[in-house]
Amino acid sequence: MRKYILAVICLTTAYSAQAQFNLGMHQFTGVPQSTYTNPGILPQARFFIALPSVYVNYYNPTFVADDIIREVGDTASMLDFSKLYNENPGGTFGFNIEQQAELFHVGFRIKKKNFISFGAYQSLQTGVRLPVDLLRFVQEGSTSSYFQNNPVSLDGIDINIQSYVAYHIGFGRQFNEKWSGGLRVKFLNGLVGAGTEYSRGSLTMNMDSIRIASDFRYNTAGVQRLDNAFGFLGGDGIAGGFNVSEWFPSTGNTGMAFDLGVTYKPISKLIISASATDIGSINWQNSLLSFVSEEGEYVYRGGELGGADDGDPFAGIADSIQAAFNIQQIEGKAFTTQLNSRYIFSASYELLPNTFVGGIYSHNVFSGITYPAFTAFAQTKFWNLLFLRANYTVSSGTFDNLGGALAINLGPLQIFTVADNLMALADQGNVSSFNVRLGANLVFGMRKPRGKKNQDIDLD
Amino acid sequence: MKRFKVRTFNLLWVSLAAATLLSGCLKDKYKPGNFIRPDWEPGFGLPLATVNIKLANLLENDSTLNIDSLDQSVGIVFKVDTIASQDLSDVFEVPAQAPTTTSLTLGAIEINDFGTSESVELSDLTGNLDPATGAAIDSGINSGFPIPFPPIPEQSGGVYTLPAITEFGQVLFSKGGLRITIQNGYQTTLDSVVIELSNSNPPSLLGVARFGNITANDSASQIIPLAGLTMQNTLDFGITKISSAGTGLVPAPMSDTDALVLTISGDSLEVIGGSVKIPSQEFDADTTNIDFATTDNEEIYTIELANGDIDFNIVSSIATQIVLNISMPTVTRGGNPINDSIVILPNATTSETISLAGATIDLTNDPNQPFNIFPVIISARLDSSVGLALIDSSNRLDITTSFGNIDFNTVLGYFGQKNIDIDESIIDLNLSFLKDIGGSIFLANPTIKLDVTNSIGAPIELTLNMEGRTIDGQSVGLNAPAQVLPFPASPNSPPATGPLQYDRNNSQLPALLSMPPDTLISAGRIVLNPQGNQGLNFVTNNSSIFISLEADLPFELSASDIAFGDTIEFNAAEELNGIVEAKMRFRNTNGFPFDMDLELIFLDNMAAEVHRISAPLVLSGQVDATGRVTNPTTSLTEVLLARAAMPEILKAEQLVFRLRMSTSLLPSGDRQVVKIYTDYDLQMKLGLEATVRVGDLIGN
Repeated sequence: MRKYILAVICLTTAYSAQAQFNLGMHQFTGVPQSTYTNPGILPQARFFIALPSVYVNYYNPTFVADDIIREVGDTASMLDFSKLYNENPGGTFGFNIEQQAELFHVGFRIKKKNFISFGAYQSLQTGVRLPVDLLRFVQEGSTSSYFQNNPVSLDGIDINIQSYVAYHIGFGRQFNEKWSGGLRVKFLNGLVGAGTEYSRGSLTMNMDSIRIASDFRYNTAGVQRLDNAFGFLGGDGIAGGFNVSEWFPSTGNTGMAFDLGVTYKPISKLIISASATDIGSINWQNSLLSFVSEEGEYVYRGGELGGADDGDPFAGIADSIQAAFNIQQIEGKAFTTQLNSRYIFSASYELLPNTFVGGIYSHNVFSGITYPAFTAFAQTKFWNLLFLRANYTVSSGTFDNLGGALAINLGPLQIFTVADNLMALADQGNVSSFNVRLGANLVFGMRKPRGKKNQDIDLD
Repeated sequence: MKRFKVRTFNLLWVSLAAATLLSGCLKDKYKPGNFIRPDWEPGFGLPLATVNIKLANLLENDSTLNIDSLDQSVGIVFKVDTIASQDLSDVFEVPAQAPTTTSLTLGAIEINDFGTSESVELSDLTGNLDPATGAAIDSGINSGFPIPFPPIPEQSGGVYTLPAITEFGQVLFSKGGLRITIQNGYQTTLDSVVIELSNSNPPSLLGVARFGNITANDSASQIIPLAGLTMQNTLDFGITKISSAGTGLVPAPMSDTDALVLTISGDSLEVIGGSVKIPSQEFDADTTNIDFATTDNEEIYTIELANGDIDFNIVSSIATQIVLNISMPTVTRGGNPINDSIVILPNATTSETISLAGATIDLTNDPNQPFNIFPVIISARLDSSVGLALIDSSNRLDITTSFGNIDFNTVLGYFGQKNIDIDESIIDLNLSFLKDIGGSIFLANPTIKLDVTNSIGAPIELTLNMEGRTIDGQSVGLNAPAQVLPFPASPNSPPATGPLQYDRNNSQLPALLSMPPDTLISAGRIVLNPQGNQGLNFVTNNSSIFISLEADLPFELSASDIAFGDTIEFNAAEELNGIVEAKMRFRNTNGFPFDMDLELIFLDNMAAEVHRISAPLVLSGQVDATGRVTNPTTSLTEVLLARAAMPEILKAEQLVFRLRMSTSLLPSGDRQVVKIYTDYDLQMKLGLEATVRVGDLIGN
């Protein structure tokens, strides 16, 4: 059972990690990974080697913890979905989780104006959308007054997963005192992909009958890898051997993506930048498997008893359902998934030496849905030892996203952490999004502090 | 200032603080350990089953099940091929017949004619006369010429012996006499002659014959009666007196050969003993009536035998061969009387068997007793003996007559009025299940039919005494009338068949079967010729009575509170875990003519009732006057395990469920009598609505 739960968690964490803003890293040039939001902004280090780091992002635009947790007395809490389904009857709920693990990343400056980097990271993006009627069904049952007039909606069930390994190489250049730009090319090796092509259905359940209508198609690719890992399709699971090394050879599900960025420094203290990241897609064309049902309806009116040759009156239910929906596991058709593209526009002003304030507009387009976000930030550094930053982000109607970033250089060893929503720590019940990146780098040749000779566009 | 802050800001502490912030410190509200189980109580409706009970489907193919081909009504019919097989012996049997002994005594017999004679010449006589008379006669003989025959004064004339008789040695006569004839060859009239006849050895007088005035050359006869006398075959006769006046002056030739001839012969003699030559002779026929025995004073008129013998055993003490002629004029074969002859050797035992196979015995020829008797006529013939034979009139033939291997085809007669009791038998009906279901069932129209196959030609009346009893002492009798079994009209008729029926019109069978009885006591009586002699009875060698039983129990009944149910282990706390309320709904369309009530009784571990649910479950279909459902009835019933009752219900460890069935209650207070047909059906849609407490379903 735990294997299935794990599998569901994997499947429900991602493809649409649509709201991974990660804006706390933007223009935080003391940390080399800042180039992930704009390859046109060159890092301060002349040479770096990224040590393994991890990035986790959670985003839930449909509810917060306080929507589903009710205090009982002074010390106890209890799950209660009533607010969720009463405020959005017939709607859906869901969440997105993104995970990224940097496998290796190396960058170095050439002739002061050019910066080349290359590396690889693994990314897992999941997204889950489920009908809130399911929550009402669990909490109130089929006898709920709501269900007297409405069936339990199974429409809009959307479970997406996209996991890939990106091999990237980037090039940035300081064109002149005002302009710089960069390009990162990513070669993508899709590991596991799954998406709901369409899903419609309903459930009516009362003493007279159970009526199920369903019509869905789920496309997957590479789920055998999950099966190998978790065994939910009958594989050996972990017991059969979970070997990470199997995940890196080409799976045949390849793609390509680009990150583009440019900065412009119209005056000495103002920097304007624009970037587009993760412009690309993965073509899933290998290890394809689709789960398809025909549009059908199954009605169960109870076992038929009383015949002369009654056997088990319930024995044929599974067959009947199968016949009604003709659920098949077929070899799927190739499909393409887009990466979660982001378009970031920012401006910063050096308010004090080495201290900047700025704003970021992030235009996130995921599956055709735009998730805009605006971030105001202020950052400073103390010599090249300590880098601090504070963010305030407004996104998806939430206004309490106060984040920060911290990087400490202990010699060549740099430890850093970035979080977009530190308020989540204080107001845990109203967290709709939270991301954090933790990692370490070996950085060399950090550029001199402001005041020294420095011709580059420099935000530190 | 910046420099100071940085310096005083311990980098390690900054790192730790950041880590702490990032890892988060959950508020109590969100700590998993503070979460309690949800208090959700969702309710779920489930269609459990659609029960479509068609009686036709429930009826298993069973030999006792009877579905009327015309109206499809249902009942039980069971048959017992032979519940009684009455042997012919119970009605009639031919007993072993005792031998009949008849003695034929020889009695007096006739003997052959016999005779003998002796001449007493004149010269022999003169020697036995007084000398003077003798000399006078001798002188006349010697004179050579006729001279007057001298007078013979009365005197004896001497004793003479007769030649021996060959027809017997010595005999005792019972009748008749001996004729003595005297031929007077003397030439003078004998005025008197007296003859004494005696056995020679030992001498004994047989008789005296007196003659007088027998002229010359004349004769005279006299008979000496011999009845009661024994006579030997050698006889003496003495002339005890002889006298003659002589010829006086008339010369008469005299010769010494002139003789007085004495002749004797039997006259109507019958011998009863002695040693004789027995002549062939016939005895008178003797008729013996054979009394054909019966076991119980049956009167038999005619027996047609398939097999059988009549045996004669004859012991003869008669010293000569006898031929017996046996005639049975009323025992015929092919219309001809059966006769036979038996040769009986002297002083021997002889057996003879006469077959009666295929014979018909008419036993009605005795006008005084025109039944059970038939005559056997025996006549005897003595064959002449080769020599002398000792006979005694008491010699006899002892004739013993007996029957063997009697096997009849047909017996006609009057077998009498007999009472034959049928032994009581107790049948344990094993109907305990009827008691278990409680209530009462009244079978309105049961029928028990006894199919009789009878080839005994006599009126037989059956009185069936049947009584149902319960353990508590209640009893109901069948109270059925006596009924006469069918019987064939004649011996050549096929066996008569027909039913004896017991039903609600002639008995209390419905009440008896509806008790229901624990045991059935069955007894009875068979009466043969209940009205006496009303006509000819008959049996054949394979006559019998077979009675088979056919019980027809149509499901035409009324019922009151008959209950089906069971008690099951029911750990409510476990079975109903999480359920705070439940409702079971029955949407019924009932085509059966029964109201059905559901009763659920919850019992705790001490078998004490903790909760009871009673609900009318199904309403009877509409029934017409004939008891047939014409329209089904639709009803909706909900059985509720109420929230308030759940605490008590959860104590239950056993569940008693009962289904009570009744036919409709009429205004009269009686229950409607209904009929069951195969097209009855019950459609029942079962739905369950349960409210569960999710928190109870979640494990710790």
